[in-house]
Amino acid sequence: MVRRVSVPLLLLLVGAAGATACGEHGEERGRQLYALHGCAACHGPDGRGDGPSARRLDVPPSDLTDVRTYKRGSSPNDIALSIQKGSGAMPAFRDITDAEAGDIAAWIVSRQRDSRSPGGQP
Amino acid sequence: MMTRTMRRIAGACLLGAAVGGAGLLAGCSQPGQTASVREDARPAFGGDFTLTNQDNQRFRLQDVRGRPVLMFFGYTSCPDMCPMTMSRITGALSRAGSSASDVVTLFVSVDPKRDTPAVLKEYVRSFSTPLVALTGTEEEVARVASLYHASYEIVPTGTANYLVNHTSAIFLIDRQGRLRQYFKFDEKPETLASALKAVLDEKA
Repeated sequence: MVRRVSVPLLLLLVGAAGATACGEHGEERGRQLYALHGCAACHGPDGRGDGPSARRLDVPPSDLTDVRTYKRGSSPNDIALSIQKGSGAMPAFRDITDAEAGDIAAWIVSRQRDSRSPGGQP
Repeated sequence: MMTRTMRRIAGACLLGAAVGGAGLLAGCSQPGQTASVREDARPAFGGDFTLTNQDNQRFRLQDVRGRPVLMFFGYTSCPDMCPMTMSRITGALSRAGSSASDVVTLFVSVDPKRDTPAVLKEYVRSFSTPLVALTGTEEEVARVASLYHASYEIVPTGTANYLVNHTSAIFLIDRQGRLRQYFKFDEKPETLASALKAVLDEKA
């Protein structure tokens, strides 16, 4: 069965890209964009670096919940820059706009917070 | 110092040069080199094929006749070209308007030995953009690559893994199943979307 693209979702995300990332809204858009652009293929659905492509890569993808594995820095700006310019073995995703990269970074930073919360991984 | 991506692109170019006599696409065409989307100027290659999808079902290109298709060759452990290509296609679909829901995106694995239907299924789940991932026997995949003048070559890395240099072009197939245009891997999503819209506007 061939699925059809959820165009309303795509249009919503493109529209959202024009807005500035802010708080939970930016994080939620970032979560959707992370899935839309297939970041999970390498970094895994929760950003832990355990995506299906990861196991056969010589350079393992960063566990985004663990800031110690970051190559360029772990601030939102650093992450957005890594997405658009590349970092280490990760290629540059130049088509991702500044606003989109900012939203994805906001979601990734929220994963960092989650990992530091009680019960999360250190 | 060359980055891994640069090495891969250079490798794809060298591969294309080595087999250039056969007219294979190497994914390193010059800007403006893409073929026209005009129906009377479409590339004289392409065609129907049958492979196996991520649900272990046989997939025939003609099964999606009536819908435009974006297709590219790759493999699930590709570290650079394939993730970038999917991101680019996602960007193009989002710019192509509401009728983009009609487009079928096909990923043809050039690593059939490792990319089994089960592996493809897990890979497809990583994308919220709908994707049909295809594999087959080595002969079946080679035939499809040949139909689309695509090339690929296993590159040992000295570890248990290996890379696959492969054509990185994105192919646009129209509602009649005819190859209408191909794009270099770093074509802007706006250009892709524009060509896609033209094909979407055509009657089924």
